[in-house]
Amino acid sequence: MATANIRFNALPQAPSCGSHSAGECRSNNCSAKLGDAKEPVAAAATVLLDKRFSRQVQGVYPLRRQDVLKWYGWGYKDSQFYVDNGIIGFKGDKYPLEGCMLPYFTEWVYSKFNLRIEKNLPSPKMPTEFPAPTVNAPFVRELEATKLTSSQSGEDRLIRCHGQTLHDIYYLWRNEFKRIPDIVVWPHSHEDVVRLVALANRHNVVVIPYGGGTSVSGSITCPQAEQRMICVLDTSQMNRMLWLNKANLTVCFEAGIVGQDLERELQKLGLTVGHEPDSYEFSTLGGWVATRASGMKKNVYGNIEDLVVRVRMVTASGAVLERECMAPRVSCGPDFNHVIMGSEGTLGVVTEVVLKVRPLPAVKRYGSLVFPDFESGVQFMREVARRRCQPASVRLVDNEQFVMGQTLKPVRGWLAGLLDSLKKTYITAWKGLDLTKMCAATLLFEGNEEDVRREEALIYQIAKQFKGFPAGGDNGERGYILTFVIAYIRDFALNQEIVAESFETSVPWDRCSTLCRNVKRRVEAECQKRSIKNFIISCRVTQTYDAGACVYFYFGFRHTGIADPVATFEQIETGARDEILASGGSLSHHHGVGKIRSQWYENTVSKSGSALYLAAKRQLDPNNIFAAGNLLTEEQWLAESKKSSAEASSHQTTVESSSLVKAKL
Amino acid sequence: MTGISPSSPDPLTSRAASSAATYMDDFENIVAKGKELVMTKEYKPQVANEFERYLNPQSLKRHVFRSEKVRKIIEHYAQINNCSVKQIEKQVKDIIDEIGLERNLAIIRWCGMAITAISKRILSGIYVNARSIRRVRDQLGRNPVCYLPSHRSYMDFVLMSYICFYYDIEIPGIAAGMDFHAMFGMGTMLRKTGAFFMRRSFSNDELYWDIFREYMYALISVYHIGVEFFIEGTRSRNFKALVPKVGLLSMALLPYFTGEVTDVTIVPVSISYERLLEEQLFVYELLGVPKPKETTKGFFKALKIIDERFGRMYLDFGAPISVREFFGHTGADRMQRASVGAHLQKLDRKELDLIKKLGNEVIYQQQRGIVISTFNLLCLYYASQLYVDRSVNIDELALGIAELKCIFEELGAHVATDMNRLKFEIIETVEIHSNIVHFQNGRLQFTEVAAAQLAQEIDTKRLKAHALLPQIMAVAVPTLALQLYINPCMFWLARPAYLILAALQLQADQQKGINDETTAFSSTYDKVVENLLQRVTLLDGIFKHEFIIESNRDIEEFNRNLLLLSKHGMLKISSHNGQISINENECMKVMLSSLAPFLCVYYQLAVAVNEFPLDACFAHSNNKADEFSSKDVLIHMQKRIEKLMQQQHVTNVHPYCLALDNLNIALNSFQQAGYIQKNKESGIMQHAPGKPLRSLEAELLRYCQLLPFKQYYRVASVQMNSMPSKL
Repeated sequence: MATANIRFNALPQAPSCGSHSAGECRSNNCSAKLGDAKEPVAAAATVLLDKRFSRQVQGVYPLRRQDVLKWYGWGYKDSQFYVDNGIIGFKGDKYPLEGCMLPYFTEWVYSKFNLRIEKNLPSPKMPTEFPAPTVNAPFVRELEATKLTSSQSGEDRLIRCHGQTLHDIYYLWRNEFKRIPDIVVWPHSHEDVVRLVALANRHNVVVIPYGGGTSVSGSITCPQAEQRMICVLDTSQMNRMLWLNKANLTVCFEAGIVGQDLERELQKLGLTVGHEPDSYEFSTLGGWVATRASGMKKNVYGNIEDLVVRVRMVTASGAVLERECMAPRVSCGPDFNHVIMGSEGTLGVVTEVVLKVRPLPAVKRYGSLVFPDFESGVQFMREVARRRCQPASVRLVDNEQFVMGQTLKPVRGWLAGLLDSLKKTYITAWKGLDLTKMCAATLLFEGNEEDVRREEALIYQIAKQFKGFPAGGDNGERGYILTFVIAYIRDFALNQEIVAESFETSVPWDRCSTLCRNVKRRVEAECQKRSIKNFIISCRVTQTYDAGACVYFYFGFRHTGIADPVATFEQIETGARDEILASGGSLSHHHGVGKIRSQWYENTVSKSGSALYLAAKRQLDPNNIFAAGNLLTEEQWLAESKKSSAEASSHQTTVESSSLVKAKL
Repeated sequence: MTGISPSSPDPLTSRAASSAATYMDDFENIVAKGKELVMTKEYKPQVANEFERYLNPQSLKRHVFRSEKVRKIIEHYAQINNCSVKQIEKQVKDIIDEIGLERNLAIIRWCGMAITAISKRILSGIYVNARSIRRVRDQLGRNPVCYLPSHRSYMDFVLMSYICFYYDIEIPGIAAGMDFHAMFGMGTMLRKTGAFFMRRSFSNDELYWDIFREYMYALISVYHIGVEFFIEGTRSRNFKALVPKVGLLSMALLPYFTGEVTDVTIVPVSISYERLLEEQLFVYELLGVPKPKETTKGFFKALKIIDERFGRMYLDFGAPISVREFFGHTGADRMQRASVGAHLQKLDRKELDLIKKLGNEVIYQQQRGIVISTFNLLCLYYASQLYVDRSVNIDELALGIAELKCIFEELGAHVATDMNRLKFEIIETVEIHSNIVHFQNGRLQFTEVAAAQLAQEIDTKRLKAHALLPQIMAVAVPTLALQLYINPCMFWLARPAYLILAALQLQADQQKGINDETTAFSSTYDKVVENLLQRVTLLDGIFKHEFIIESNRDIEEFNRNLLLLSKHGMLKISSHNGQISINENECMKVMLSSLAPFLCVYYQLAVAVNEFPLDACFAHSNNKADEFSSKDVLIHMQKRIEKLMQQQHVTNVHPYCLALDNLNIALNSFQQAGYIQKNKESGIMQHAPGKPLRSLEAELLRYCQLLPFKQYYRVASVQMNSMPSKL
């Protein structure tokens, strides 16, 4: 509407002069100031939301997470493998394998590692003494005034000094960490985080964001050389569902929401995000974003970068980095969401994330395929990717894992046993497969009945081209269910002198098979070099893309008689990673770089790339308070801190000299 | 302060006076013979906001019920009340039905015919600024529109709808109080002419307000007719503006903030009355006689008024305000909100502050557009003469009014007085207001009210505060009625009067302190001006709840007033040594007189409050010794004033000191300024430690003593035997 002859002066953004309330402004005659330029602070203000529509979520673990979760390893306190009468069993009522004795698995362990497990070894005891905290007294004093929940107890600090790498757990058990966090703080909202981070920045206190603690890259492991006070920012108390927008199918969660909590809340409403990394029982949304996580069902729902619509990160000064728009795609310079995603806690704290949601599928069906050998399996996977007809999940396991998977079954009754042996006969005799070469693919279909049926038909037809044939839904389902249980084996094995861990990569199609073969050969060679006889190296192709696949390796060995098993393991893994890179694989598909892969980071992103990362780092966190020490090596970080402190001191001298000049004048 | 762009006409300079003189030419009497509305005409209105597809009142209600926000609200209440969604849905449907407007053209036509007939009988004319209305109409269609009329009478919304119909503007949805809804038949009729209903704001049914907000949101964002409500919230009993209430306005602006609409157009509407229909009701209400409930019976009783004359009504549309331009928002400023679902958003403090500023601007523009009638000027002049105990005849009146008209037009007011038939107008308007004043022996006199009759008719037990003596009421009633008609002038006069008062004060200071070193502060022209500005600002602060003249034009107005006073020879500041000289001419006294009743009210109230804690503590109240309620204060104040008014030669007492609304405003401003503290829950007050009200009392007394007036009323006892007059 034209308002040419309006008799008012437009008001600026800031309604009052800033020094007093708007009401007083008039009487103090500062109305003139209303025309001033906008205050920069105004931009950081957030939109006020109707709190009634946000939902409190009862998290799977409480503020004292050690009440529910193991402090010395993976998962729930009450879930673990154990031995009874020389037979391995599993307990833990949250899993379908609860209470099962596993004689076949026991046999398999013996055949692979030449190990008869006789007795349960006691789990480690919580230490009574902890590394002395470094205390920044002014920070602690001011922190107390903010009324944020915090703890300086040794136990709370110790359990948050690490992630879930073999290294972490081994050191934890032996209580060999020199440096653990000095204080743990639990913010309850974005605003709390802003306050805490600004405070830490003012007092030069290190902040390490900590979500589910499931990292397998060393990214949340306390930097052992850090001299400053270390504050762990535990996000578990910020796990509200802030809003849900059904029109857009988007949802906004606080970053501390745990995967299974998020899915449970949404599924109550008939929705799902569909992001299911293997850690999703315990890992958090913020962690997914910070590491560029990938989920099992990415074919339907996408990886985290496809799911994130918008993300809010608090940077060191307390300022927020966030795309000011909810539009589905923008052409607007480099996408800074991608600066946040994969920043691994070194650039800021992710506080709120807007994700896409989908309606829950009507049908969810498992399937499995058997192939005569791994190579045919890979060809099948490639064809599926070429035709872009992936079901929600399709995974190919090698013979090693196929065999092991078969052993993770409880004792069968005679009928089931008979049926199994019949199946075996059918496969070997009728189909002419070699039990030591054959491998399997597991399938998960989601959608409405009609679509699922069509997908199934197509997949089975493609499988046929590569001599694959369907092997039933049960096998498929077991594969997916075991995903969550397998994580518990590591701790059990560690207690029995077996070190084991997985690592992953992504690779173009043309190098997929060779990479798998090369890495296996390399690991075998490394083991031989060290006279390690009892080991297992196995792989599976877990994701397919247009241009390549994601490959997962499992490696473990019995370390009886080896002085430093973890160091040995790391040496071999390093060799494997070198082989991966040489074979065209990536540094990581979804675990992230962290500390254990930082030696290759610069090479994989180019020198300019790592310089660009450092430039962003200097901009967003000039004091390096987010000093988790990821992506770059310890030496690189050290060099960087020397450089910046030299710069700061030279800057200071110029300031001093200029003030001196003034004083003289 | 940023200047007004040179291309736009500057209303604050005297240049405006010449355009003010011709401004009234644009007004046309729409009930004059031959101009009357033919209610059977084809009604093809211009809608406020054009759409591709239009909702009707029923589909609007469905839209509200199905909105994402209401779905969420229903889920929320079902959860917290632990009941089924169905139950809440039923409640929500009932609420929407209670609120929702309808439209029936036949009823609108019938009402219009009735209004035309009644108007022709009781009014001398409905004068409408056709030009400003056409200007608004030409710009309609692009945005949601809020019409915000001033609210002095129930006639306001009747008139608004009537005029919209007359000028082919879509009749907006009108926010009406539930008390109308309760009137038998009236509720339905109002609803069918486009009213939607709102419960009183003090009802704190959360669900209700959630739904109401959503209904308002929909009216603005998806409906096409525009919305009308009264930003003052209630009719001003004082015929002057009230502090704007921003509740409805912020509901109406939410779609703008959430980004659902690009802009909202605000149309300030000024409606003025030569004689207010509710005049007597208001006067008695001010004294404490309770307001009668709105009933249909009452309505028909009120129809008795058709035997009386009410003179002219004036209606003017102000220049439309684009809220986007007013707030100075760019797209980037609004981006943040646009990225979050609209139904999730609430307004924050800063935005509410912006809306408050807009509210003040609307009140400001409404008051600018209020037409000043001959009777307003007459009352102003008559009162000023009364205070110096001088009676006036028609010639003196005419002279005084003519001079005032000039001043007002220079200030920018629209004055209805026709200089060519001034005396005729005076006689005519005095005739219309014969219940307040009349000519006796050629001199203007108050029309006395018989105390005896008052005693008979008013049930003193039902009075809100103190049970006033009938003879005191008899004095107060015509004085208060007179004040009602002076009050519209205050928008224009308050600040010039502050300046005069400030000048008087500074002059006295200059004279007193000739050898004082403090004179140094006022030794140059610039310093004196600055000092005056400070003093004016101080007075502004004291009366900011009384006169709603806040806008961001303080400095311009101050300069304009300074220019005006010096141009008319009232104030001279020596450019050489800053010496102030004041010429106390007639015109200056009139301006100063306008402030007198208010200074008396504030001064006397400060005295009364300072008398707390009372020696004879109220037996009935359990208050602690140093605590008091606002009712205690009102009763004590009225008692005190009543006593004073029965004595001879009492200074600084004006019958306006009995007016409860003003006392409440003043008390509130004492509290806002921090002189008294009020417990938010109990409403119990006590003196603030560290900010003594005594200092304000002394300050107010100094102001009062600067006024050149003797006494503001005639002593009560004289009244007892006077003639009865109609009530």
